[in-house]
Amino acid sequence: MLFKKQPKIGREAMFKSKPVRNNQVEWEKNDDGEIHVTLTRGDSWKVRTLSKIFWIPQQKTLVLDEIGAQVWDMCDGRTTVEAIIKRLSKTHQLNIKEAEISLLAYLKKLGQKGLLGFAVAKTDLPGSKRRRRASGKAWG
Amino acid sequence: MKNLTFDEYIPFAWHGIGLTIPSDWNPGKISGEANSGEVRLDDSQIARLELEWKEARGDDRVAQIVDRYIEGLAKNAKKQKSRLRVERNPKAIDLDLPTMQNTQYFVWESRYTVHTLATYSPASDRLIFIRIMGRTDENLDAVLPLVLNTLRDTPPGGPLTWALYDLICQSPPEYELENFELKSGHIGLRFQKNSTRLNIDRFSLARTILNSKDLDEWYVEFFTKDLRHIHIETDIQTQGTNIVLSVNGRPKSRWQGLLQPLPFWNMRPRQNLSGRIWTDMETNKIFVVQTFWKKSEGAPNLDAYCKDVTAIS
Repeated sequence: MLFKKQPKIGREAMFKSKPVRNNQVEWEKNDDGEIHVTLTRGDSWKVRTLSKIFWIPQQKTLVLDEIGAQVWDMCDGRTTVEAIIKRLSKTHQLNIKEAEISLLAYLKKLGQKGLLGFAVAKTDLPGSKRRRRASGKAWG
Repeated sequence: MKNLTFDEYIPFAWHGIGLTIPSDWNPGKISGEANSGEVRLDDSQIARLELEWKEARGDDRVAQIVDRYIEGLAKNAKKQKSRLRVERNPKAIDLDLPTMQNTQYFVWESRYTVHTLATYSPASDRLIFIRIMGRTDENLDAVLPLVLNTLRDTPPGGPLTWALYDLICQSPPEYELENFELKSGHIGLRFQKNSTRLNIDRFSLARTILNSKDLDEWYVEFFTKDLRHIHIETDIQTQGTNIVLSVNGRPKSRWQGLLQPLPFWNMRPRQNLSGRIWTDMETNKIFVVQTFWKKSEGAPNLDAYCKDVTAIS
């Protein structure tokens, strides 16, 4: 296999997972409560080759706004996604679904950038029994 | 058996059909229109309630539909070699739906326990189906009457109440829902009656939005596309901790239209605007009510429209 597939986890497992910051990423908080995350260019052969053709900066800074910074703070490997949703919903008076959708999209983005990982219990990993929806549209 | 109970119940209403639901259940899917459609409400783990409606065209024989439905369930269960237990009209809950007719209630159990209500609403000539799902180890007896007995329906053509997530509002008589946006942090409902449009929007995170911008500045920036052919005048007022912005707009001159590319092809709509934008810092929300109208006869009563737009706190 050329590429290793990331395991896909279910919704329940996602809620129980605990986001963890990548400890190799440098970040700092400023006085406005924003977090500046410094992304360093990778050092794989692909990046080295591409950087000879295109200009790829050595470092890039990502600024997380006030809410983003709150989420970043909670990605400590101890707080579950469900707990983060509840906390955000309470702090910003967001509907729980609103908080869930925004947070999951945000965590996905941070995960794709390699800034976060998700600690998932072994029992929640794929391979365990999948649950199906209770019913579908069936009225004649 | 685990007894399922909820502390807080909130209204949910869509296309004239209303229910009271636990505050943890939120719309996960909305489709269809007034004649036929479906809504699914989920909690954080599973689908909890499915509401389905379809035009009856005078055919109110609910029992026969339920027969066919149960036959379908049995066939599916046989195919999948799974067990199915159906109990029709159990007396576990007291149904009290005086405005509905030919109500049928049954419970079927497979992987989940599904409590199903099928009824005919003479108010709108629609068949309404509600399925409430529970895990097999959950007891929903306390929840069922609180949800099912709050079912109500509104005749078409009159004012309709719309309630979802934490927005509750009313559409004026004869206005139809043309479109809606359910984005995270932004709910938008678009109603139309002839050439008059009524847009109701609700934004979350008001404090964060207004941290760096004034309300009028944010409004013009956010609704740039809607306002591009309109000259607007704004008036801002403060009411306690809240800000109210009144907007009046008239169409830009026809001459200006000649400056745009393909002016005779891209005829722009000449519409007036009356709008009100206000903050509710208690619930951290911004509400925007805008009406776009052509002739003075169609000029809307903005006060009446805004009166019913609130947040469910």
